[in-house]
Amino acid sequence: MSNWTLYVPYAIAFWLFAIGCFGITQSRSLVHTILCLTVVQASTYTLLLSIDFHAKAAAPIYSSNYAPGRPAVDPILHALTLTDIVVGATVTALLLALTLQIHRRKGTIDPQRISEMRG
Amino acid sequence: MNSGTAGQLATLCVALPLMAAASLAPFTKHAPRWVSCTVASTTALAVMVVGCMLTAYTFVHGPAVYWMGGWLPRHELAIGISFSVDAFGAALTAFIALLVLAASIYTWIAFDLTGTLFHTLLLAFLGAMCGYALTGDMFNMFVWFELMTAAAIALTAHKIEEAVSIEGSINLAVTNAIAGFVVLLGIALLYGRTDALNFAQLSQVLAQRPADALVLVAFALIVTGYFVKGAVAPFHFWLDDAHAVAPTPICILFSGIMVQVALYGVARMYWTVFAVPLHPYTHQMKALFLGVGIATALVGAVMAFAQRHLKRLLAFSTVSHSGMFVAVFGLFDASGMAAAALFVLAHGLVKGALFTCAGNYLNRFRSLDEEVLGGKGRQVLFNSLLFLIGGLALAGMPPFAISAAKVLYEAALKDHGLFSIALCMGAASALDAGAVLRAGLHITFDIGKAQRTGISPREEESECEGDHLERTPWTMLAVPAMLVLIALVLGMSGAFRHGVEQAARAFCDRNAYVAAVLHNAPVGVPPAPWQPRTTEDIVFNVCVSFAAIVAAFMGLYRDHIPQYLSPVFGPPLRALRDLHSGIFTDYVAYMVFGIAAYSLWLAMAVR
Amino acid sequence: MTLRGRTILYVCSAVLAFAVMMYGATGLPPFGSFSGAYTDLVLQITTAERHVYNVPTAINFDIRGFDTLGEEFIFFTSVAGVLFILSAVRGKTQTHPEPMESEPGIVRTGALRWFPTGLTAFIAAMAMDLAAHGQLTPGGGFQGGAVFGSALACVFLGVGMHAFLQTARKDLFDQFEALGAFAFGAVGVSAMWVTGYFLKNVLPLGQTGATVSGGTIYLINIAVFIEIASGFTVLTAVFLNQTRQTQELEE
Repeated sequence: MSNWTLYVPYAIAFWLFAIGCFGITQSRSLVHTILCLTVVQASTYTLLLSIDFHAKAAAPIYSSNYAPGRPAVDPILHALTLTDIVVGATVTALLLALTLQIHRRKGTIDPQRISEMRG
Repeated sequence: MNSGTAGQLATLCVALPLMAAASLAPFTKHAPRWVSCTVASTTALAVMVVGCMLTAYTFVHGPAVYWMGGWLPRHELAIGISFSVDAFGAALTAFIALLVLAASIYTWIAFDLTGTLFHTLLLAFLGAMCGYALTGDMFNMFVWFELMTAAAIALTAHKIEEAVSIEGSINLAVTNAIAGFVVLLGIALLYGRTDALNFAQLSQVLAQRPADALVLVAFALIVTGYFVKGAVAPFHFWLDDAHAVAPTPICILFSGIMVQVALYGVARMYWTVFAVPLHPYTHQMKALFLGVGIATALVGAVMAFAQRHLKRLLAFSTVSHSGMFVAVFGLFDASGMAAAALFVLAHGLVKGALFTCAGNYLNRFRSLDEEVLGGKGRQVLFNSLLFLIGGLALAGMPPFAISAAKVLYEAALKDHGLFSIALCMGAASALDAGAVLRAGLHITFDIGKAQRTGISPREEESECEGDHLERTPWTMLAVPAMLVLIALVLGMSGAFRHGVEQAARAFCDRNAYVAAVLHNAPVGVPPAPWQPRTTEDIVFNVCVSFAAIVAAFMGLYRDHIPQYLSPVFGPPLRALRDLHSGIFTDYVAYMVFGIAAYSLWLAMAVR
Repeated sequence: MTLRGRTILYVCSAVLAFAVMMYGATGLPPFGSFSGAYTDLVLQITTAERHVYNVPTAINFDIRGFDTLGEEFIFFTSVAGVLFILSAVRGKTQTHPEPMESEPGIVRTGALRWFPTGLTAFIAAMAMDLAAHGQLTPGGGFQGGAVFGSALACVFLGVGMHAFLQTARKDLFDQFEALGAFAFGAVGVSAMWVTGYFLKNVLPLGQTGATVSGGTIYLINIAVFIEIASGFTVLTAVFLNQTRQTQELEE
């Protein structure tokens, strides 16, 4: 590896994954869990977009000033990221609805205290 | 039919259920019950018929490739998303639709629905699984995977009055959401190397040189992600929590096909993308898949035997079978693939029937506890008999289809000189089926003592309208009867077994796949040699069934067994039960442990 | 498992997992040097053959439009799922009373009332602008839809929950949402009926840079806008309704 700094962005992505999961394992509130899940998800954007970046290219959105054909970064990863964002938003919505319901039934949203399914 | 028509029909298998789901949703509270039931059942039936037609077509003519949006490859470069329909994918679609049909028939009479939303979600689930089975694109597969998760989360929480339902749903949501992100990390790594998403394209780029660390790590990430949904140790913990609380028709789908569809994803991806670059590492991969497979099979079987709650028992049996599928697939050849496919099919039918019978007990007696139900099974004798027959079929008793699958995998394991694996799987099978038979015998004939370990509320809400059912409606009995009957017919048909073997050879033919997708050149597959089943194999299956019955009676009359064995088995069992803590914070820790273990094992193999 | 045991297990595994993932990532091209044939081909054909400036939009709604169909239905399914989970009226037990038609006693006056309400119109206009030029400038159906959802939330900020729930009629927007999702599928199937290819761009493409251009890309863009905007409105309305019920329960 010639220049290790060029691999730091990838490391940040994996770091986000690890620290997000760490948050979930330590979680004492479901809302905190949901926020940690969005951190885990951020690792996927970060990886997708840091692979995508190119030093000598612009965003893949042309205009009359930046004519089609000039260098641009990979647009497919942008499209994948957009899809990924929607996926994350929906899981958040579903989990929030479940959190509301569990709060009604149990009066708490601490995952350590709602469990009835041991063994 | 030609290849283009086949592709259009395959697309409709996804588009039709999704559009039906969207057209049901606006009538949430206004449509009468029969409307949504009819729409769901007819859609499932239509998809099933189309799936069967596609299976027949692709079985004869080879894979049908269809490019969405008409974006055909240029200069051998895939642009759009392809559907690459082969006999396995098409047959899987038909099977998914069959189980969805069974699930929707179960909801016809007396089942508690909320307007049309239940069927909306069911149809979206159907579309997602079909898309996952038919797609030829890595990222597209991820999209359908996520749609499955979204529908599954909501459907699990059907009995929203009970906190355990919500809890099971939360455990499913957190673990499966992380699984999706892990898969996406793997896809991103692969894309960074290959600039491709299509399976055939990825395969072509990766085949240029042996796999390095990136390919192995990406493979490990995608496999672990799919294994979370596929309930392989140490990722299986969510499954028993979710399947124990999900409504009965959804249990049919979860245990019968969703878990197995995820494993199919691994097989599809391996045989198309990774078969060539990972070939030098076959030895390590075999060790990994056989190891985790057997471990999962045994853990699931032991935990199943230690349960008193019927659905939880069946859920652990699914975990156990999931391990067996992985172990059989872990032979990495066409014979293992054929055995795994037939096994998945047979298990889905039998497990669907067993879950339905358990659901019928719940709706009639408002309990799933073995002890509470003891002796009550005689009031619903037909249901109880089906449950017992299902238990025997699960053990591999001929002539049910699981027996045929076992003949295939035992032959395959013997060819590899791994008969010890077959013995382990026989032991796991005997424990699984023994647990089912034990519960069935106690419920029906009130003999022996019920299992006392495992958690189970003594009384639960039923899934039907009103407090409980006075009589089980015919639809709820017809579903398990139909499923067992299909398992019986498929098990007796030698031609069907031979067909699966031949389709498996086509499935594992990576070169034909790439040629069909990128070069538009279907290649015929030479027919598999016909192997009649030997009496030796059948004897082995009968032995396993007998062992299951012995295990059942040992469970019922355990007081008569000498007590000096309990210090040997007690502490490990307690430790194992403590691991299944029911809290997702623990499960996430196990998941990351699993990801580290899997990827480290594979990455250490890099030369 | 105890917190301590879990933490130790997690930290050890995570360190290993991180190391292995980084080992894998060393096979990636160094940051800022990714390129490939697929990338170049897609950049070239979207502008040349689809007459749009915003390449990711063309990918989302045309080249990889099938992914977006799945994604739309993930969104649709989740909204249906949230409604399913929160409609606790089902079944026998009902742990909370039906919502009452009363308004918690917060009355906003002056600027607090009129500024957010005025903002609604502005944000809604911006959302539609974003969505309408999705094929030309950064934006599109998703982004516009999400912004539109927040515009209606301004009604809540300005004039309170009751007025918001009057504006954001849940059942009405629910139907719009289903319509948007259905329309996406319908465009795909119609294209298949005409040309034999699902989601093929069959309409005239128009001139590059024109407000209406890109063929079916434009149509799907609008369908997605309708779905996402109504979906977010439904979600906001449902969750606010729940908050109100919870408040009433506590009182």
